[in-house]
Amino acid sequence: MQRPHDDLYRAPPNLFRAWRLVIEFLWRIEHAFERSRTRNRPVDDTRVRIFGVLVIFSMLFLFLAVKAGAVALLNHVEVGVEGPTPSIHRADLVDRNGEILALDVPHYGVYLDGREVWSAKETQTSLVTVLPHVPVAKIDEAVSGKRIVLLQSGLTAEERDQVHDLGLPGVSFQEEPRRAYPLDHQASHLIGFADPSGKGLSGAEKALDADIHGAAAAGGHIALSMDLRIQGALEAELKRAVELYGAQNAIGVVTNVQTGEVLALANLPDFDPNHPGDGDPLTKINRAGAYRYEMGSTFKMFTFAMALNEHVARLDTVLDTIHPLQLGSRTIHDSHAAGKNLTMEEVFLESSNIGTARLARMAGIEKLHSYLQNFGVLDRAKIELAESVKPLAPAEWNEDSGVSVSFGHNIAVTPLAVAQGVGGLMNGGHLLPLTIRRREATGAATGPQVISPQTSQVLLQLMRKNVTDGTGRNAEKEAPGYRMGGKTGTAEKVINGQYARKRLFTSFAAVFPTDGPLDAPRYLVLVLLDEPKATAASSGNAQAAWNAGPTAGRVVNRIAPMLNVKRDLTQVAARPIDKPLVEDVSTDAQ
Amino acid sequence: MTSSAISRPGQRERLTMKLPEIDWRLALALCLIAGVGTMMLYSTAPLSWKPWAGPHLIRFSLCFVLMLVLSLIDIRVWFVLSYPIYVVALLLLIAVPVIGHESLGAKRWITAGPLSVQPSEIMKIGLVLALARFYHGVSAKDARLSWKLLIPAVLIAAPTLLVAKQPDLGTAILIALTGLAIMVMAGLTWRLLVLGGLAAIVGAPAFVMFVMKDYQRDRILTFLHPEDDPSGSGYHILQAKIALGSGGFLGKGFGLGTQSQLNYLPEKQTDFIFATFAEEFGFLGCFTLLALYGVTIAIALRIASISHSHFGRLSAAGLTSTFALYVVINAAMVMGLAPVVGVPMPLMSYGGTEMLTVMVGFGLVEAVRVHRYAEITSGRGSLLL
Repeated sequence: MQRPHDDLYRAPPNLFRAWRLVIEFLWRIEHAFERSRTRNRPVDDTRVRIFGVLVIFSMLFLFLAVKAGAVALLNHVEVGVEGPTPSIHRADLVDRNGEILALDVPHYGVYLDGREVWSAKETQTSLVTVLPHVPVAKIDEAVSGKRIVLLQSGLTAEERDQVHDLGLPGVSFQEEPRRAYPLDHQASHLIGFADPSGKGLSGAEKALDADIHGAAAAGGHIALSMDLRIQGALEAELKRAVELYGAQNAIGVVTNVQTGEVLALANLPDFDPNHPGDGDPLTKINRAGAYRYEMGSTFKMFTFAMALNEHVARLDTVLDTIHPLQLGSRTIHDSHAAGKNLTMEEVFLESSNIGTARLARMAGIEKLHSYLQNFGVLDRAKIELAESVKPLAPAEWNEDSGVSVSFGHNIAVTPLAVAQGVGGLMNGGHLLPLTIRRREATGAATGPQVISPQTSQVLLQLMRKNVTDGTGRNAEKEAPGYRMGGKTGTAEKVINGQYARKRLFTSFAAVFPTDGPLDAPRYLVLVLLDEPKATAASSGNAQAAWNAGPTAGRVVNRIAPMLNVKRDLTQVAARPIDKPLVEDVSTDAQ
Repeated sequence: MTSSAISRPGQRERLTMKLPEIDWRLALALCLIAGVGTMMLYSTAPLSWKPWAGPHLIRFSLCFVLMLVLSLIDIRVWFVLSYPIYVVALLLLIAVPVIGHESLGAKRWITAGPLSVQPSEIMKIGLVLALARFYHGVSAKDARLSWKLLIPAVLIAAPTLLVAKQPDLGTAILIALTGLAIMVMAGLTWRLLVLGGLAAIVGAPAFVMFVMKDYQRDRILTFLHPEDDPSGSGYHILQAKIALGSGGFLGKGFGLGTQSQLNYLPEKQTDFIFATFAEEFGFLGCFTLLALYGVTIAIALRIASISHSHFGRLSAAGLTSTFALYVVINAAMVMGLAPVVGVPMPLMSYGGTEMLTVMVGFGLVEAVRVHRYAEITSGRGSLLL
């Protein structure tokens, strides 16, 4: 007789012994179903299968019950109510001079265990008087209850003593530290904040979380590199810039280029870390590290550093800046074309895009790429802060994309990365990671040598020249005698993938003093303004030379005395300059 | 047994004939589970009918009545409605990304006036009915292995993918596993299962690495190593484990669990209520509760297997599987055996939507029992609406 489904009765493949047993077992089960099917009773098959599913679920349930038993009986966790948090105490944060920035203020929660109460009436009446904010019903319920109830949290030490002095049985206290930030809005992005359970959530509080807990256990404090006085000056000037020029946001960073220490870091608008839940969430973002911007001409410093270090040109080499640079379908223009060929120095002072692009092409895009990598601007700024993100750089480095990068286009980096990179150019060529912790004076900077000391020296002079004769003249007016150098940058913002002509992002990187040995104390002030308007205060201009530049100058003027930099009035660029101050806006090459 | 009366034509449709046919043991088991749930919600509140225990009890009472009403509806009505329900649920699922209402980062709801529906919940019922309907008209040989099985595969895959995209991984897993269970019960060959299992073992890492969203991957990784991130995503699992572990053999006693009472346990009233229960009633309580769920499932599957129609068998068994999977996934999740995917403990966790789904499901199971002698002859059903 012919059997239906003949294939089913085929012997399983002879692979491994164990495997064969499994197959055989399955085959037997299937055979049983097949038998019921051949007896023309598919109903039985489904019933058997439903039973099989029941068996599987039963086994799963049994397994879960056994596992629950194992967890409950063998794995007895004695963590209790504390949970896994190692410590809720946090050490004080102080600035480099010991000024307090953040501290734990002990508060207490008051608990009542109804089972230990002797006199319900006495407990009830006396608690109502000392804890006016607790509803009477809640106290009544707790007094007569059979469990520990939290009556109120956040009591100060005095309030706790008041309750304690009542001497009521059943009342207990639990310490609940709260973080207080006495400066309120000041330095809020740098200090950051911690949650009530003692976990740092942003800024230094997050970046140094483990150390802060460690220092708390050891009874110490953590000193930041920040100088409260410099921070104050920076914030005041940024605030003024926002008011004068109508900028949406202002960002400022002050670093010591010889140590990498961040002396001040500010973003406007800011927030109050005592109430981190209030206000616009965007104000809590540290834009200096968490936002990326196309920097425009400020970025040319890196191209110049590369070109000088590679000796592709000398400062007096004449570059063709008359003819626009043709790149495939695009043409690189200068918006304020000089109408003549410029020397390399003049290219810097007039911030010529064509000239800078020619330098990049002379050295080769490969070279530019590897130098930018060395300068650290193709990676996140090395700093303890978690708020430091990678740049948006071209995926492919070719003639087309690389030339745009050479004048600060087609690449968006964080202000912190710029501060780190420029700092490395101004200290003899050592790229130093930034730090928010105070460093003890160690003398000369040590770090990977990214350019030669000679190049660094030339760049310092070039920066100085730019302030005395170039686009940085308005900055010099604000800080006479501090031998400041600087570079402007004005870029059109990218809105929805398009360059927006009227929405600018301006920046000024100031370094002072530019004289003295390469390892002399030297500081960087980076000021960035987001969408400044052309106002009367900026003589109807919206470019960096009229807003970011003077702001940086004023910051330098205020903080130099704090940093022991002496004013030298013989070094003031006093001679009148008749030629008009023109600044190139880094724009989309058409 | 009153089956003799039921089997007499003309007598079957009378209410007095139908009511005794409802499986009251199953109804009692459901009441017991919901009672335990209410008790736990009362304990976590803490010791208060507000905000959870009271509404929970009221919802259950309403759902219980609904279940009784549904159990009186002839399964042939459900047979006819099975495909339409599925299609409506599928259309709603497709519409969710377009007109859905976003809550907590996921689009799962459609709001129409005062009414909010979660299409994925309708689909839990709709898929079971559609699959049962499909297999009802398929020969045993085809159910084993044939090209026709592509139809149930698509019936399962479409809602699974749509729900996973919402994103609601827990419900997607639930829908997929329920569908698979029905295919198996309908007669899918074991060889395909073994092959599929092997393929899943090989393919799972690739799926985790390339298809999942970052947060979903994090959950899997956190599930494997919760200690790495005790204050972040591992918090749930660790706190639940602590709750479970601190229960001991007999538990801390009613209303005395510190983990949940002092708010260390997040989602204590919803997905993690089992941990609260375990803390307060210990190992013995867990064992008893799981046994109660087990008995419920056994009764329901028994109902499935005594049904005369293939449609009744498979729909009852499928709906019971959904319920069982809820329990298994939730318990495994709370014990740290499965990633946190957001599947509640049925009838215990606070939440109206799941309770409604579960009780409608049991209403259908009861309907299958009440009408277990109903013959569904043709592919179109004997009751044409």
